[in-house]
Amino acid sequence: MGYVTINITLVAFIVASVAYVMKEVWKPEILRKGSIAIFIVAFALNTVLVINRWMESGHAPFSNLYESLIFYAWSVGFVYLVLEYMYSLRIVGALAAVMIMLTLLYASTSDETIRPLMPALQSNWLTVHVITYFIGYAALGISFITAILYLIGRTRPSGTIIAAASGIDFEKLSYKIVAFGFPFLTLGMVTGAVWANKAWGTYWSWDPKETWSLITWLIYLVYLHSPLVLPKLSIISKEKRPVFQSVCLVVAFSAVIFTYLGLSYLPSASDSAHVYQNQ
Amino acid sequence: MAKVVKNAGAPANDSLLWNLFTSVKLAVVLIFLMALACVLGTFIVQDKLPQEYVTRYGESLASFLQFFQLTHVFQSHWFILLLLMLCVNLVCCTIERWRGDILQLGFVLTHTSIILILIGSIIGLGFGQKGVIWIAEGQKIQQFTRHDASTAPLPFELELVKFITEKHDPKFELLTYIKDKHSEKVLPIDVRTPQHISRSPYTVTIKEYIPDAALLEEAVNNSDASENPAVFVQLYNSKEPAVEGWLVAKDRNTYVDNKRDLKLEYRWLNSAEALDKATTQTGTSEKPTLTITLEEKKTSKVFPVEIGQSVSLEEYNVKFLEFVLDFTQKNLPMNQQQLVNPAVRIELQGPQGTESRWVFAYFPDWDQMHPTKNKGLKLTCNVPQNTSFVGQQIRILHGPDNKRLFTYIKDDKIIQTANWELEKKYDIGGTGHQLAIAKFYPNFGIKQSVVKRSDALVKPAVHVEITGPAGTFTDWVFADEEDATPYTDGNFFLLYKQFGENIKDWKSTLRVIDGGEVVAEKTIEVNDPLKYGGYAFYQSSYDPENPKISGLQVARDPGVSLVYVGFSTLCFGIIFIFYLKPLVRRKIQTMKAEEEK
Ligand code: HEM
Repeated sequence: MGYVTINITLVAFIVASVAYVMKEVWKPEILRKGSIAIFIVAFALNTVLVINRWMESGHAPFSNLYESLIFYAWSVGFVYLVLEYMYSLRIVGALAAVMIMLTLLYASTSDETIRPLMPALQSNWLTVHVITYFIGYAALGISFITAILYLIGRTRPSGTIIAAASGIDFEKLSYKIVAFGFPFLTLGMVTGAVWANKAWGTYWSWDPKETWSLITWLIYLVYLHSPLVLPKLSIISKEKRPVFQSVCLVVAFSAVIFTYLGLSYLPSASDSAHVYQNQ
Repeated sequence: MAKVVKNAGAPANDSLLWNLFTSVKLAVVLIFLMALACVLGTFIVQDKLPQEYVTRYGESLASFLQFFQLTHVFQSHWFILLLLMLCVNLVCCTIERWRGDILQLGFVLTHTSIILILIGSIIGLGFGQKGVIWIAEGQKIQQFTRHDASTAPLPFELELVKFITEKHDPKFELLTYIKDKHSEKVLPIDVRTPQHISRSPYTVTIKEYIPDAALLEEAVNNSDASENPAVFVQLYNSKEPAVEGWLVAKDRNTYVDNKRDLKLEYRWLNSAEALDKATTQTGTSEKPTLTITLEEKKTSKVFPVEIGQSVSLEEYNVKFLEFVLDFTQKNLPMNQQQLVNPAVRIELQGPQGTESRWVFAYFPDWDQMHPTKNKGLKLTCNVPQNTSFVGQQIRILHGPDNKRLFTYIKDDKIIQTANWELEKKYDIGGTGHQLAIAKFYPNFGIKQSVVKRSDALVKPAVHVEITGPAGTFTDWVFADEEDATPYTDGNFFLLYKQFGENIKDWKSTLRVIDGGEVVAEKTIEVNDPLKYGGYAFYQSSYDPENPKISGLQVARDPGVSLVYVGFSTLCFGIIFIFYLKPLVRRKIQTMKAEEEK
């Protein structure tokens, strides 16, 4: 059941992505609203996937890698739609759809067996914690896309064409999107600490997952303070500042991905309570 | 960074220091350094014993890590210095820029919140306490164990009134395993559809699935030819419940009842002489023996095993403590008694100390593989097939021409001899025991059938058909059987096993007793602690060996409320900066525009 829906959803996001690109390149009239409509259909399928899983397992669907991936895909879709409404992202939608597609592709290769929750995970704090984190991660994922688009625009004529054609200043857009996502990241970290304190009596224990979410948070903090600092540094010329900031966002989102998926590669991972069991 | 160092080295200059600590540049550098420290703290394993670093990283790198406290990054002096500098930096920065502007509210709140959180955590580290408690149901405790294994007192008594473990209904999965490829696969319980195992010659069809199955074993008589004679024996006694079961002449022909000090034996004899001999023979049974071999001195001696007795060889002294026929399941019912893994438990006194050991008859190298105090000697145990330690014996004899006799032997003397018939009760000597032989099957066999059962123990079973290079094979596979079910070629296996976390929750009913009075009582579970007198008790684990022992975490953290205030301030400040400030700014602008009009 999940297998079929996941494949249909995947295809729908590919179609949405192609529609976005066609809209930007040829600007046919039917795709003006049509591409968003296709994206919304794909998003609806992803929603079915999440709700279905929630009802089947009887708990909020983020207890293993498979569940959290389909929920992350959903979050990216959701945040994309919100940001599209707020800032009109246009071509960014094509890459958001690709990002969702890759996430679902990864989900389809991981173990989807439903397993009962361990006692510490049976908490409403888990739900709040994960939802806020994933909304944050989704927004930061989209800021990663805009940062990449900015860097492409700087180095390749094709990129300049995209920027010019879509009329978007990707550097400013990136900052706005981080400003949208960073509060969720902070809420995610704080609710995580509150939950840990409720479950174990310690709000912070330097567990690898906690430490890495702090690292991610600190990198975004550097990014957020950088407009104050960069003008004072004579070594970085005015034109290079946005490049520096975009690179900062690429690094920061790599840290997000590492925090989310890469921790099992750490030598300290075996001591962690956070690493997905069946990875 | 270079600039920072230069400033620090400069002669004391207030304005220089102030400039340094009010600069956002320093803040960014400090934040960056903190992130770097965190990266190091996860790529280098933390808080391990010195020896582990040496084996992991080598001598010189290990001492380098130790010197720079990279083995305890988050407790290191330089990390704490980093935090302190960040704190000072934040305070100076915020004070200097604060202009009383409403638009700066978020900026001030976020920066203050970080200071609050840091102060709160310092209070927690300085005045808080953390530890664990293992407590048994009914036990009262007035101390806990810190993480460094020292104990600390509690200012009141804690009692565990009740401890329960809730479990999920078990879930099972059917696994296939191909030995030469080491490949494992979960097979869905999809009844009747042949399921081909991809890239292999095997196909599995689940023909039937019973979610609550039991294996019923029924004794049957296969024919009237005396091929496998067996009797169904019952032993009565006014005081104890009856025992009964099948004794099969060919293999499982004895039953030893240690409690009744009695051994039952069933013998099938095919000549009159043999029957005569068996009727008059008195020797009970052979005793097991223990051989002590001193490897260096090349001496060895054999001793009979007599429970309670001691023997000695050179400087070693051995006392026989216990003997069991089957080490895995002591005290088996009649139908299952066999010499499966007999073992003797001894107390060994030697030059290296006194210890208690099991010596296994069929596993002579066991003590070589396990840590023991006394080395240099080898103990082996020999157990004859008819071993027992009982003083009385009933021998049920079955001879040619349907001659049926039984003898009762006590202390090697025949006390009673009588003929037996089916379904009659016979008094045995003056013992109070009664013997009856209820059934006789000349060709005994066991028929297995799988049935549904209604009791609470849920254990599913599947009837599978496997086809592959060695033809078709069908069998029942039960969930949680110890061994995998092999297909005929020995390369393909099925295992039906439980998976996933089966603990749902632990609940401890705790009572706090202060000054002889119960002042608090609560049933705690994971995520729902009991708080009293500044201490909080968290349900954290259980003892898998003893379901009546609960594992708790104890925490006393006077800084936590400040940290929580910091958390709230941080969240509100950040929400203000990114969500409210743009709205407020717009509002102010429209107000200004209106004023200008
Ligand atoms: C480590 C925790 C810190 C957090 C969470 C934090 C957070 C923030 C955020 C989110 C902003 C953006 C405000 C806005 O755009 O209006 C900001 C601004 C600022 N931060 Fe930080 N910051 C931290 C550390 C510091 C430190 C240590 C300094 C001290 C030098 C500092 C100096 C500033 C300054 C000067 C601004 C600009 C405020 C304004 O002019 O409105 N920050 N901070």
